[in-house]
Amino acid sequence: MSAGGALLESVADARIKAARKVSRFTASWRRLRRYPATLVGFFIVGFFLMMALIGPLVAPYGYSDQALSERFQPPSGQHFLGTDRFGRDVFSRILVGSRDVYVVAGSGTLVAVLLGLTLGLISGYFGGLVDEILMRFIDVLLAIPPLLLAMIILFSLGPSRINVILVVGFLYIPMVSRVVRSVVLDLKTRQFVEAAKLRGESSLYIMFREIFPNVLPPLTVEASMRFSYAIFLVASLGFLGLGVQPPSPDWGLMVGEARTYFSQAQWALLGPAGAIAVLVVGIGFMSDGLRRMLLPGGVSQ
Amino acid sequence: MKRKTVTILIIVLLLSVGLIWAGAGKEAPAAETAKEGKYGGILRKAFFAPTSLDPAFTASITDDEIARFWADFLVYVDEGLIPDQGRSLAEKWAVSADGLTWTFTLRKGVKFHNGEELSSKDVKFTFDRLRDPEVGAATVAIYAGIDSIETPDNYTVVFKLKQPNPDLLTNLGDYHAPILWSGTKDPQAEQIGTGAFIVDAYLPEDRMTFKRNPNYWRKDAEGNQLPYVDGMEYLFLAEPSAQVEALRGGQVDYLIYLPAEYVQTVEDDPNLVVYQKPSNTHYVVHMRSDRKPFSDVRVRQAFRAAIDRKEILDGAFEGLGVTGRDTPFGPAYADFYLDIPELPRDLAKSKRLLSEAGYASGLTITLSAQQASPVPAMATILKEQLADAGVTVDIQLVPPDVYYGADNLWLEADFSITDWGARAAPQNYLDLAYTCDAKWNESHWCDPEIDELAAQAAVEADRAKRAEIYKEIQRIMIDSGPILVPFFNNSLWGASKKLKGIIPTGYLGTAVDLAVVYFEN
Repeated sequence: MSAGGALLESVADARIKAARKVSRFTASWRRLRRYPATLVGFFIVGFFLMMALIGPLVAPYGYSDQALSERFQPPSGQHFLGTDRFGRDVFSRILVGSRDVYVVAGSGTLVAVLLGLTLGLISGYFGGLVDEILMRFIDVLLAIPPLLLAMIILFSLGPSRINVILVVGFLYIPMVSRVVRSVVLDLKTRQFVEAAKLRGESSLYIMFREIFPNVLPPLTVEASMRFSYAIFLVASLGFLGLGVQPPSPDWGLMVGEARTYFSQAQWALLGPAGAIAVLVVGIGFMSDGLRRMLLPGGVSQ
Repeated sequence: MKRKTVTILIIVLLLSVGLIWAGAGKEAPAAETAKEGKYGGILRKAFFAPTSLDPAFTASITDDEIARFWADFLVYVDEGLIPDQGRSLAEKWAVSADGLTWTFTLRKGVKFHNGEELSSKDVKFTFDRLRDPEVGAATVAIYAGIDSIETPDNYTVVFKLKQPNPDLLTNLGDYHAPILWSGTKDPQAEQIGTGAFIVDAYLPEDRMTFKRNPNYWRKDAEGNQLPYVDGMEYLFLAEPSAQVEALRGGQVDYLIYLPAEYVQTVEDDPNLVVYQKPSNTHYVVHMRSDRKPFSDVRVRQAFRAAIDRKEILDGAFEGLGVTGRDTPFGPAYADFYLDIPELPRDLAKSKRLLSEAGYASGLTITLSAQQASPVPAMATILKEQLADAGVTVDIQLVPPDVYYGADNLWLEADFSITDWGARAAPQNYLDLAYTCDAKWNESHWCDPEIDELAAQAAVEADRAKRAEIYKEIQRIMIDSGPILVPFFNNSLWGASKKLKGIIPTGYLGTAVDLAVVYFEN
């Protein structure tokens, strides 16, 4: 082949590669469009995320503005989801409460992901005794009902938001580390890892530069699932009054408070309970979508 | 789906429905219908588990209630704060001219649950125990004025006092003082009294059951022997919502201390009814006066001017009560109560006082509150009201057993909300919490003038003069006192419509006479 012909070919190759990358993405997107649930999921998560950022600015009322002459108002033009026992606007409290949800559940998930990732990488890559010890520790954690463990830890440490974040993080390390470990176990026998070892790369390099990028897709899917569990756990703790103080617009706390006067103001309970349900389901749809986008061939691809 | 799969699924579904149905059907048996007139039936109620079965150490409402089932009082003080001779073990009493010697004559033929007859030695045993510092009951201070207790014969008890005490009768009717059988070795384990109900079984964490006392000494107006019900079941349920659900579901017939937010729910139920009675039960928001910021009287006055008591009453207790005047004296004390208009809300005054005290740029303080209705709601409303005066309140909710726990948070916190039950006489509050050395002086307030006035009132026999002293005390507390008392709430009960004869009381809110209640067919 002539030099000019070779050049043309490599340009064509590059174009094809680029086109493949784009088409891989549009293929993912097109795949997604067949699942409207996923789009709904992204929309829900995005909506509440936006509320977490600008909630206090767009909410019609302040989250703690009491109006004791307007208690137990049913949903109306003035109060989209009615008022609670202190005359506070339920809708505004839900919007402002999104920030707490994302910050606490989100940070907790982040803690779980970072620590779980590290544990999973170390455990999976080194194997042997290290793996055994770490995995037994994980098993013990998995055996205890999460809510119970959370309550015990919070009672001893004292209820505060930081402690809730740490507890949530701690509780979800096992699941994350297991997912990461299983991917690592599969990957570490692959050729590119062998090649890196032969080149004399350090374990740290191999773990983070070679293996980690391939762990990222299943980890992302797992993280989004953990996020939905974390939201539910944080809401349960708020319901029990652990880790949040009034007048915090924590959705779980709102549900717990509204339970006592349910017969007088159903909306004060159904509003936040509905928000929790909608967000958790939305994240579920979104994770499904992420799974389809990132792992079209299954977890280990 | 294959037909076999569908069939299996249907069978599983039917089985599940059947199991659920069978499980749901298993309920506690309904109260037996009355056999003869008013008699019959088992009275079922639910409340928290007791902390002490020994009345000397009654610490919770449950403890107090349970003691009243199996024991009686030497002097029964009714909710008008007047001794009720018809319910007392003492048939009559008299005091000497100098006020130092009180002589009580006991009823004859009253039997303890073990068959022994009530005699003066049982009264002496009970009160000697209660005033003995070795035993360490909560009443040592109240009975410190008793010099000696003598028993000249089986039915006569003589109390010799160190100084005159016009409140002696109400003191002897203190809820720690039901009469125990003098042969009781361990009052925590044995409950032998003269009361309407005999302890049948005590299952910790579950329930306590009682049988009717067939030899009870009280009779109704027609001469029929009390009580009417055959027995009682006291379920231990810690959550008010669980108690209310049990009432609505028919597992219990009667509830005490119904939280205000459930009143509507219970009233809406066609089978249930809510009983109410004004009482002196109140919630003290104390400002710890021995250190900053509340050591400065201006800060205390600023807080006083910043709150709206009516709003707190309406928002936290559904308006079921009357507003307070920041003293433990409520309208229930009749002529002792300083009847002045609402304390006005004056935010300008509040801000000015705070500024004078050096908090012009604002004050931040933590409010410790127990997680028991209506305290969290009170805290939430207080926070918003105080914010209007530039005060930032951080609410710290803790479970009740932490609030009253080993660290005694309620006695240490700078700013917290404590529940105080109704007391027979307002002197009790002064002696327990508002004099300099008072054992439960949670606000750490010390005003020598209050101490002096309280001491004077304690021995003043003339009611009108006493009233004047109490009113002076109230004036001082309203001006510079350490507490906010937003309201005095009504006592609330919920009960099945089938349960009759309930006479709501204001004193201690629990002292409903269960010997006279009965089931209607």
